[in-house]
Amino acid sequence: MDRNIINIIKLLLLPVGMFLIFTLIAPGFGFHSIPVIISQSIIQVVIGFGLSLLMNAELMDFSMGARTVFAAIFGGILSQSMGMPGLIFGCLAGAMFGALLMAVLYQYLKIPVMVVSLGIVMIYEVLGAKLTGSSGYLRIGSDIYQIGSYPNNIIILILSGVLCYILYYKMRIGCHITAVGNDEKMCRNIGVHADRVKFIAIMLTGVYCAIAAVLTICYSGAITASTGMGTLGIIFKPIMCVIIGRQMRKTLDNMPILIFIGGLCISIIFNGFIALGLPDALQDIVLGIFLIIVMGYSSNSKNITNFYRRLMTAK
Amino acid sequence: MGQQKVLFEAKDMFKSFGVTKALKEVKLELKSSEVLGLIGENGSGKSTLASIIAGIWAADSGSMFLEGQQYFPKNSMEANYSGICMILQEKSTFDHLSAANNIFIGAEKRFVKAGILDGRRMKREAAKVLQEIGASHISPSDMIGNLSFEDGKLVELARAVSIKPKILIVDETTTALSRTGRDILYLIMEKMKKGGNSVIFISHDIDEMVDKCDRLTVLRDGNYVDTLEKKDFSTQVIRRLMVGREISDNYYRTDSESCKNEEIVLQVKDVIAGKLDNISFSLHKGEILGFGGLADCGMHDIGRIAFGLLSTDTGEVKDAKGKKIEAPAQAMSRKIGYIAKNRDQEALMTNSPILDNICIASYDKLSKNGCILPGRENKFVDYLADQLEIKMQDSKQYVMELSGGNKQKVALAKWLGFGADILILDCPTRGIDIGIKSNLYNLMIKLKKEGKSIILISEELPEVIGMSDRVIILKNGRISGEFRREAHPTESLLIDYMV
Repeated sequence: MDRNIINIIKLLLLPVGMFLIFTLIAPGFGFHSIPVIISQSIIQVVIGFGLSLLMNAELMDFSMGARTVFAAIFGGILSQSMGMPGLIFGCLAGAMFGALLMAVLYQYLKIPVMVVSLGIVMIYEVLGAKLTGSSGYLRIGSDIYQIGSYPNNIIILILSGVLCYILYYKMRIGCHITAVGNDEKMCRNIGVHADRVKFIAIMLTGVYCAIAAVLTICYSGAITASTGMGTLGIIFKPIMCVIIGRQMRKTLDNMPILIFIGGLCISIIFNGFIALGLPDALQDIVLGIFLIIVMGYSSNSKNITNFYRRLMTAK
Repeated sequence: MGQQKVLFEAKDMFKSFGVTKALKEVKLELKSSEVLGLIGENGSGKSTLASIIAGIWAADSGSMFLEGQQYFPKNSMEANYSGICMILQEKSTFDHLSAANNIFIGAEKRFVKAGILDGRRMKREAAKVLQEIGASHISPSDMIGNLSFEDGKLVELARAVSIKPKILIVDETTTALSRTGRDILYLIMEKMKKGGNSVIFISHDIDEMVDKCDRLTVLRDGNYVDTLEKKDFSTQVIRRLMVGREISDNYYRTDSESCKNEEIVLQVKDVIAGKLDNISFSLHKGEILGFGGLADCGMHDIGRIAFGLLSTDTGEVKDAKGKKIEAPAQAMSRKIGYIAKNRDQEALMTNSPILDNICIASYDKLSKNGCILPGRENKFVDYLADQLEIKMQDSKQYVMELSGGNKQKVALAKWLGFGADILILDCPTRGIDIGIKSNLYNLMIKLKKEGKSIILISEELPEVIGMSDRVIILKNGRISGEFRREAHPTESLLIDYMV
């Protein structure tokens, strides 16, 4: 069997193991939960695809949630007059405008992306709220939201993953993004335009925000505007998907698959805890603890390996 | 030689960094089919000139001609397109990319069809280039982060060769390479010459320059000094031109007695850590203890365990009073200082001023009631900068703007100011010119006379032999031989114990 397939199977053991544990301990959690788990992981995985490009360039963007929600609202409004094309065009235009604004601000004002992204969050949240009016809520027609419903959402996820794979491994830009994240100064020395690469990376996140926007509004057929930095919460699960994915990169160098596995793990944990009856607040605590554990392991994996090595030598 | 056409010419080159004038009316002429050595002390402007030729920096004024045509690269990519390529002194590979990606970075277009990169073809081509330079042990799929520093440098060489340059600039690369790596580089240089192309070769190793170059251009303090033809090569003349004064042939210790002091100041016992396998040795007061071996033998881990940077799997490191040293803070409290081989990343804060770098270890003595006294700080830095003759604008200058030798002096000043009784120097003369080297050796002798102890780790055997009271040779992480100074160990004898 192909080595890559063996490695994918090995990596899938992690979510499968988690799934089996929850199946055993959580009443109501079982094989029937699989479609829900996958459906719930789709949006975070798609955002994770885009986010991973930025994280590969050593940039951190907190605005992807706000951009996604704004794009979904904008697309939803256009869909009311233009139907499905309006939804797609609106989501794309809203997301790409957000990406462009961020890329331009970063490029010309030389403000760190993380700071720019927080500014964008505030602006986009308010704009989204204004667009939805006093209700703060927007519904789309059932004929329209079919595009992002099951099984179309699975197809969209697969296509997004393929695009991500192509960007990462089959295009110059993927290689240059990694190089910029590795050493920007060195990139300049060998003629790679680091600023241009970062600009493109930010713009590419716009594409993923647009896809996530379509999926988000179609998931329940409606979208609610969020203010007071509420959209920041959207980004944490994708961050974890990417971090978990990066941890497994030594076993398999295929970021889209790794991010998907990361997304599955997170979705299983959450659905598992819901099945166990964990309230919302506790779920957030679990999310926080899980994030700290993953980040802690990610930052200290070398020390942990050394510790075990020393332990074994001592024995 | 006389019939060779001029391939490249630079005239009246000026370049300043702030108030520092790095190049002043410098000229350079490179003929076809030759290896032109560019030599000078640290800060003489060699790397600046080379970087301008390679399109990394732009000159303030001056003109350059490539094959008779005006040449003015806007960036290194343009220089590459014109056929000029440079291998930098520092690491220039990307850890998170494969060897193939590193070789063709910036030049992937040739593997792109309809916007899609043909990774397989790229890897095939990379394998060909690696084989061509004699580095077929590196797989094109290998992530650079998983390769050794030397293999990373070989990938850089492969990148340069893949461009098929007319002019290859090799800037201080040989110090990072083992004998095998150097042989590969020399072979490439030879092939370039035979193919009618040329090499600009920068190194501090005068013997290497004399051996490999056809002509030598000497720079000093940013000025052009002279260009020597092969027949005029003489170590003494080159040194005089470089430094502007006479430097004796032998700048190592002249005595042949090893340290007789029995007082142990540092003891390493049965240590297994990193690449080290069951290492034991003692350092005595006033002793220079040299460590030599092949690049991967584990000798660099000696410095790290002695300073408490690397935890031991088994065994222990103890000070004169028998107290364990397990962390850098403990080592510093026992007056131990350490300068790592990787100076820029591990020994200095290059993005900080000289003042901060020198004072960082000594804030206890520079402060009163918890407040740092700026007057005391400035006096402290000025005194040490004077003592070590650090070439700088002022103590506020950033370390990254200094030449390699002056950076090393700053790292030394930090520990001398701190009052270290034990100095661990890992490759202290790496990338340093003979003038500063000579100063450094004199300083080591002075410190030894003052009763300070030094662990000298070096990949240069003449340096280890010339400066040490005792030489310990490591092979595969184990001690394979130990020699006292009076036994007059020779290079060939030590090599027998290394390989």
